[in-house]
Amino acid sequence: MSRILFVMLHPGFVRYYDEALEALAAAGHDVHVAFEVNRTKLGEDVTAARLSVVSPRLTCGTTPERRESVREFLARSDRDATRSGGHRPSPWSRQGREDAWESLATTVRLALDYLRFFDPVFAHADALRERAAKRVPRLYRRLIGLVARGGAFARARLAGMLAGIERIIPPNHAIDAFLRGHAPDLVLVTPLVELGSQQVDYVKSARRLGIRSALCVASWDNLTSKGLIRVLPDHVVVWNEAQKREAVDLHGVPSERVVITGAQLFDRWFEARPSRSRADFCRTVGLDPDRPFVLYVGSSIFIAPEEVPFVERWVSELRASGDPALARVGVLVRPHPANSRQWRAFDAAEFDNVAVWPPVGTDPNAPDFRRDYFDSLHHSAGVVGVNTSAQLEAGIVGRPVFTIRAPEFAHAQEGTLHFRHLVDAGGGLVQAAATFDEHVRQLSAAVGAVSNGAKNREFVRSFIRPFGLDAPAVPRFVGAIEDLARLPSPRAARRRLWTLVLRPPAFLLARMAWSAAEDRPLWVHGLRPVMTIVLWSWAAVYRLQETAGRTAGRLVRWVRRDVRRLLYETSHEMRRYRHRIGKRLTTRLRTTGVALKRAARSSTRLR
Amino acid sequence: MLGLQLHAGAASFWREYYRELRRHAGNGRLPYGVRTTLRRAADGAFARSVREEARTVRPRWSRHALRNAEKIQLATEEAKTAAEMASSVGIRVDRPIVALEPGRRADLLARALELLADEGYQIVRIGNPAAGRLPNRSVIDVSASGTAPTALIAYLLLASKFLVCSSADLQQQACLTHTPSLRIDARDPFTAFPIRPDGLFVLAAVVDLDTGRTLDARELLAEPYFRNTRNCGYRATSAGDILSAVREMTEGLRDGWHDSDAQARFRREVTEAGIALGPRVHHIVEWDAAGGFVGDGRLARVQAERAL
Repeated sequence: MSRILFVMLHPGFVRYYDEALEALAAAGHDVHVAFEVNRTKLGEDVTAARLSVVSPRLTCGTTPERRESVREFLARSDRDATRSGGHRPSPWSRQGREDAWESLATTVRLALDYLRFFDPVFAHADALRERAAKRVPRLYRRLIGLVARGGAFARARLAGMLAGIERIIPPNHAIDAFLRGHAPDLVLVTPLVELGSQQVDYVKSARRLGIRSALCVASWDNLTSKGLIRVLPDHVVVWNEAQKREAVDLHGVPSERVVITGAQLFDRWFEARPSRSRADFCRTVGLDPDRPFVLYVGSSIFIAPEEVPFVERWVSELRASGDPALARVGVLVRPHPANSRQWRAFDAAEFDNVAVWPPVGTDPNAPDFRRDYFDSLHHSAGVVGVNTSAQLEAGIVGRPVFTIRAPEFAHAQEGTLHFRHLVDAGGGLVQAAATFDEHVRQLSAAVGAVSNGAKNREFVRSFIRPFGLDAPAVPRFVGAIEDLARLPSPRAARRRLWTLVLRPPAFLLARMAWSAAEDRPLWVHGLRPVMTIVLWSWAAVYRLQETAGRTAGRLVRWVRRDVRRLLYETSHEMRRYRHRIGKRLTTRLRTTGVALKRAARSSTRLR
Repeated sequence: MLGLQLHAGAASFWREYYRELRRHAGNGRLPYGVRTTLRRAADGAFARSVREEARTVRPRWSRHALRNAEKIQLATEEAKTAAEMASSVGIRVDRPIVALEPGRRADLLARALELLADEGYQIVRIGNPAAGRLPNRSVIDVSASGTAPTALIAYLLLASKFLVCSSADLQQQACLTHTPSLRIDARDPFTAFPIRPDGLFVLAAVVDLDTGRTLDARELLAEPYFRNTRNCGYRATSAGDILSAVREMTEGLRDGWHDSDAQARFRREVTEAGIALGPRVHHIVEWDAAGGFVGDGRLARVQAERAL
């Protein structure tokens, strides 16, 4: 039995692998899932917590904390931010040095990710390029753009230089210790290709320690819409041939390292059955049960930042189309769970037989969420969307799938490579219309007919289940992971001398990267030492004043006390003195009086 | 220009100075008294940066200049060509014309268009063809080709009895051609307040995306709205409000313009809010609404009475 360490960016990735992880644990493997970031936005932590109670062989935890995460790096570079920074370690302290190396690593990775979008294959991907550009510190952005436009040769040289710097960056000792502590037979990482991802360090550490590593490609857009696989793991696990081509052509992965398993996350959709009748479902969601309905599936915020006006127009077009079937067809809108807020501005009551469901704010981890989603797909007459994985799920369920090439979504349709899978792979899953009129014709035909899903089967076979529609992907995935874990450990990568020699000069680059990541005007860097000196001088003077003030205060208190004591004692002494003098005087007077009396008495006697 | 650059430089300086001070103020090794003073100084620097930034904003237009602007005219040749183009698409200049730029929901204009058609108006659609199909078949659509020539648009604006539009650009052009205008789907009063006395506007429904609550018109005059517009979604002006506004427009053209109490009060409130918020909210300076004059037009009666 093997020990497997699965490093995920955040618990949200569990949903791609939950069934596979359970199957691995059931097969007797010890699996530890480690999350780099604890995300709770959509209740992902609940998913992770649920996973950890499935089997004692399945454990969850966090990866070593990093002081300079990509998020921190990007937050530092936000010019508009008004938050205050905390204390910064000295640049020459151990912490300062580690921060600088982390900054350099993130800078290099972000730069490589930006550079890839200048490849001719991404010629129309302006939005993707723009998104990658925003993350690169401004200082390098223009420079990279300039070199990248110089042609393939210039791009290759720059990419080579950046890859060289990546190799010089010293290992992350905390990650080495983490891997040694878990001593896994296989390290899995996902998604690895997020822009600037630090998961590269797990692959590097695994190579250095002689542990086999593999990238599990989580979703269908990962290899084309995000960053590069910057350091190659030993294996790449993908869904299908199309992704294999992407891994080989766009990321330079040798084809023998790529393993195809099918899309393990969709197995449940092949087995699912509706939980209620169509009429019950329509009554629950507020649609007319006597009419068919079309399901609109929402897309993520990058794909469709302003989706509500589009859907309003789409429904208006259906109603105004003159087609009797579409003029009265039900419309069910299912917002994307991570992009649902905007639907609060959508007033379904404005239209006849239109509903939004589930309501905005529904917990996607609720037990009924997935079941209800399946019901909405199953009972629909067709599914419409811009560009989302829900269209794949609709394809599996056997519903006809549609899209409209709208100008406001050009960046997310023609501007992304994964959209082409929807329209091309296996003869195409989605019927894409260039105009509303064309779309209305396509939809009208679908609403009027009963779909047997025949058109989708070829797509599903090529894209979701490449080993046959009846061959589930989870066992394939588990089998592939078991095979990889059984392979002998690779030889530990040796340190190259040149990387050690170049490390000291590279540290200057690291310091520069650390400063440049802040994306501040240059004069700020000039002002900083002056300001620091002034501030510390002021602090010294302040402390001196404080100390002097305290000393003076103490002195004054002493003097005052002594004076008081002196006055008190003096007055006391005086009183005693006066008393003594008075007493003496009284005694003297009395003695004198007695003497005088005696003298007077004796003189009287003499007389 | 140089002045603006100087202000931009100063704003940048104070903002960076503020960030540096805040950074040091977060350093626990500095004496408490020093950090308190730094925090106070940082707040001062931030306030100065905001003031300087407000001075860098260049207004998109001058409301005073537009109020006093002469009516623009097309050159004879251009007017002749535009008239020929108009007549070729079936526009008859002997009938009253209403130019129409549909907003987000073309279908919501149906009842208003019926009213206009009943009153004998000829409706000509201009602007963005992507805004959706109009339900009324009698509308002459010059936007279908994608881009109608500027001269034709200007000709139509000059020839129209009034304009119904959803964009600030067309509203501004109508101001130059002295064409009465009705602006629909306005997201805030400062952007849409008509400059000329024969202008009307209606607001879109602004929804707080956190709670789903619809903001009232007074909330659209307050600073928090402009500070956090990303948290707001918009619903198109309702069909009922558009119909009422169109009716008010036709009545105004026929009988002359008279402000109701609510309309006059709303204008006053917008003016006062503009003066009060101007130094702090860029958007208001950008739309030249901070100088004590927002315009002689009005919010449609139906919404003004609901708002106040």
